[in-house]
Amino acid sequence: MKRTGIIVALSTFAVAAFTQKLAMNTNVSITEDGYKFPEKVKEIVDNRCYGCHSEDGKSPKAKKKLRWDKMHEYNKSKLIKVLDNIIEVIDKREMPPEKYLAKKPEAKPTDEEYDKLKEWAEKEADKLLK
Amino acid sequence: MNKITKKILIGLLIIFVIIQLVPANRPDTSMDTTNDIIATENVSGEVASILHKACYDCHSNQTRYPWYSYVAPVSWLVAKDTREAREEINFSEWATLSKRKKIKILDEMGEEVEEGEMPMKIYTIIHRDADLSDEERETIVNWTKEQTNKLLGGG
Repeated sequence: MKRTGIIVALSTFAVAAFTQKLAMNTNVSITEDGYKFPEKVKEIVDNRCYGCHSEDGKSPKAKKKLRWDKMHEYNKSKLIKVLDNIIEVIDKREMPPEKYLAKKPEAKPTDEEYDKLKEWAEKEADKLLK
Repeated sequence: MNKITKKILIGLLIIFVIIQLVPANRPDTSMDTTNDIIATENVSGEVASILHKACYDCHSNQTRYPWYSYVAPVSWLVAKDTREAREEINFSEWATLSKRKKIKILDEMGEEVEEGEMPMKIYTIIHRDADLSDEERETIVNWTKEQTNKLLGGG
């Protein structure tokens, strides 16, 4: 009886862990019918930002601030706002959050990625302000 | 009052006196309106009045510090809140901001005021006239939209 119990517990744990890993590996990405991103920018966002700032993100705070998957729905002023915020957090290196990077240092974007994203955000904002 | 209670009260009093020696670093005030939003953006009297009573103490250089903002530990909280508020938006420096920043702030303002996040409860509990009515909130939200359109359409 005890042995069965242990086997059930271990199996449940194994299934849970495996499912977690599956969820992590699911390829979440900006869809084609949303906002139009240059390929390189899309890559950076998918790898560095999309996990939290999209529908399946775990943090309500993050989702309130920015949803990459909803950018095509933002009106002009909201778009300018998020672009400005993106530039600001890149300048201050506030994103990804320090607490997150402490657990996953490999998630930190390279300087090149930061620069590329910032350049894109500035261009987009300029276009909107014309 | 028993001996222990007396000792505790005296201890608290001593702590209270000592913490008054810790500087609060209240941000400076200034009545210079050279770059102020009300002065530079042709803001209506109605909107200006709301901004002054509900926003300006924290979000401008024209902070009015009441007596309790000179008494620790409240003074520390007031100093911190005022400093952080001005970092988010300082209406006294409005004219120095880029178009992009202005639009961002107007959008944020509209959102926060509409959702009731601003002004903060801790402020309106004491400053009752800053506890904006629904109409006043609507006035501000509409004004932020107007200002934004001006900035976007102006070209």
